Parts: sequence; structure tokens; C-alpha cells
Amino acid sequence: MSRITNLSTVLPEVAADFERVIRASARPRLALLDQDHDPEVLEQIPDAAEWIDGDTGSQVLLLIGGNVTSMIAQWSNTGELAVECASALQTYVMDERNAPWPVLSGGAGVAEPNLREGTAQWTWNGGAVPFGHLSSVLP
Amino acid sequence: MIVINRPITTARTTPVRSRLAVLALAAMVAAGLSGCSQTAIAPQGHCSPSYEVGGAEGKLKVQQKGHGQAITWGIYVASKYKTGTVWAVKVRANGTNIDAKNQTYEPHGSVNAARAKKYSGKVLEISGTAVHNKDDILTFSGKCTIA
Repeated sequence: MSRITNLSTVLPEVAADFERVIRASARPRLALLDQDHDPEVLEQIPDAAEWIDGDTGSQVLLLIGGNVTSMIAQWSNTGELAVECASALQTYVMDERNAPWPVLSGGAGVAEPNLREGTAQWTWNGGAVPFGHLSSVLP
Repeated sequence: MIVINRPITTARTTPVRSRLAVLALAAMVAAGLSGCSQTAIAPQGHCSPSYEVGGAEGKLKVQQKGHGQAITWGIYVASKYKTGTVWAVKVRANGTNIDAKNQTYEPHGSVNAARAKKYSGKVLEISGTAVHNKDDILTFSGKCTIA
């Protein structure tokens, strides 16, 4: 059964890192679509069938405000899904601000989401912090 | 190629003065003025190394460095459309939706390498509308084959 869930429920660490930079009205959500669409899902994604991957018969979507982006990662692959979501959210934030984000303390540059040794992290030249701890390296 | 039709009356009982600008991104545009209907067929090209359609009103640009590489795209419009415009864009790969944007600034986006590999040889389609100052409508679409 298709469903839509707040990002903070599925990937709380990712949601925490973006909490201060995404306005509340844009509330990030994750949708898991399959062939069985309930009315609540169709209300928010009227063209749900057009998003389904023909190979898998399902699809994970990230909803941010009025934007929808499909994910390559599967729902069950939490690490890859977290990195892909963080990357899409980072792009959204940079678009909204028209500026790079997150800019690190001490001129260390801009962090990027990556999966390293199975752990979803913010990485930059010479450093890394796990998801959920981004605020510790921001000015 | 750009087609601008104005004014167009779209309702019999309540005339609506509207300017309809078709942001060409199209090799052929057959603008059926009755009922404001129109058909725009975008020329299909190759995403790699780059694909570009449009004219003076604006351009759609797509870039892909090579096979299996990430794709970037963007819509760049004349200065008059940079503010007061509401954009609705849909991106499809092989007919499946992969991205949709509803926003008030020039849209751009990317298709990551994993997805570009998955859809290599398939068609990437970017289409949508831009409504400027409520009655100035641009429609656009472009298609290119993913390397």
C-alpha cells in the first residue's frame, strides 16, 4: 500500500540537519508508491501512477513544498536513501537561498552528503560528520 | 522559435485578455487559437554533450559530459520573466516522471549518474509552463536522448 510519511519519522538525522533551513510549510516528506494508491496519497500526488518505476513496480519520492523528486534508492536501503534525500534537500536549499549550503566554519568549504563505509555522512576536504551532527560544524 | 499571440479571448461570457507566449523550445509550433489550444513539438536531440532549444524569450539547456554521467538542465529566460513568474516543470525519463518543480524562480535541476546510467539511450523530456503576472503564459518542452 502506498504511503506518505514525514521525513523526520523515516530519516530523523537527515531531517534534523535541515530543520533550520527549510521553512515549515515546505515540510519534507517521503512517499513510497506501489500499484495500490490510497486516496490520501492520490490527493497529494494525483499522477502517482506516472512516477512508478516500470522495473520495480514501486517508487520512493521526496516531497518538499511543491516539488517532487524520485529516488533511485529503495525504501529499505536506509543509508543510500538518506544520502540521496540529503543531496536533493541540499539542492533545494541552495536553490531557495541562491547560495551554497552548508558552508562550514573556518573556511572549510561546503559539505556534501556521502556514504562512507556504510555510514551516511557530511564530508568535505579533510573532514566528516555523521548525519544528524551537521550543526556542530556550522558557524 | 517563439510565437506570441495576443490578445486571446478564452471565454465567451467573460472575456479574458491574455497574452500567450509560447517559449519555443520547439521546431514546430501550430498555435490553434480557438479556445487557446496549441500544439508544440520539441525537436529531439542528444543530451551529450549538450542540448539547447529556445529563442529570445528563453532557452532550455541540458548538459551531459558523456555516457552514464550526471545530467544538468536549466531554463534561462529573458529578464522580464525573472520575477513574478510561477514555474511548473515536469521531468520525465523514458516516459516516467522523475522530477517535478513548482516554484517562483528559474528552474534548474540534475539527474544523477545512477539514474542517467539506468536510462541511457532513453529520452529525457523536460516540459511545463511559466505564468508571468497571472496572464502571460509560456509553455515549453524539450527532448534529448540520454547518453
